[in-house]
Amino acid sequence: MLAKIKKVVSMIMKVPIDSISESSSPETIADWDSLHHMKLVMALEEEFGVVFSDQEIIEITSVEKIADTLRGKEI
Amino acid sequence: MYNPYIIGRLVYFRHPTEEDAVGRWHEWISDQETMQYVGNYVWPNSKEKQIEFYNSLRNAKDLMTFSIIDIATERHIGVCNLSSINWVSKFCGLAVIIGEKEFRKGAYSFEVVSLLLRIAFLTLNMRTIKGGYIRSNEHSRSILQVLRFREVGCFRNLFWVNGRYEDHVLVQLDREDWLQRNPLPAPPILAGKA
Repeated sequence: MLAKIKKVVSMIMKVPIDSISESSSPETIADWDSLHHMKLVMALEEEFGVVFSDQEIIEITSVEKIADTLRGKEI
Repeated sequence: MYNPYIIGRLVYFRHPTEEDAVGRWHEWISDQETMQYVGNYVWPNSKEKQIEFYNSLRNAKDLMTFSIIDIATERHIGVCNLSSINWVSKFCGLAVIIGEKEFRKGAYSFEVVSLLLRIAFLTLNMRTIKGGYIRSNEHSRSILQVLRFREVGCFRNLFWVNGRYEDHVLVQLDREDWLQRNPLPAPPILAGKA
């Protein structure tokens, strides 16, 4: 699952996949602004076939938090 | 927190104060970058005009305006509202201005719209939220898409923005669609006689 998350983050934020770690977040990826956060949410929902609640969308602001939230959905 | 109306993770809303009106609020409305997608609002603003608007809120029956406060810093970072509230047919519009530019990153804008929807559907018992965005405003479009607003129409070449006419895309979110993504918690089971 982590590899798939990294792939999606890499594609949306346009950064090399090797540079992405679990701690990657808006603080470490310059392009992770509000617009790209929305694009990331849509891409993750499509990739994993899930729907995030509003609260989850606000909270998934790192690769680690994305993984935790998806695990909570039994992905 | 001072006088919170609704509290999110990043921000809370409260009733605007006179201090807000004479603070940075009037400058945001004058800033053309901030207001470029807000329906041809081209007039320069002033403290006096902002106080006049603030005073008009006292008697507004179809407009609910909030100051947006950053929880971490207690800064007034923007304003938002539920507008054109139709209390009979139960629909309204919404608008958001994040005036302080450093708060346009992350999930701030999304949380503000999300809190407005929560107030509209759960507190005011609205059935439908109507909205719109100028087609080139990718930021608004993406937030509304994530929130599952449905495109219901379009005014072609309606607004003059940055040297050209642009479409105004009309969108709508019904309470049932919102509840699918934000289900209500089950009611508590109360002990006692049936």
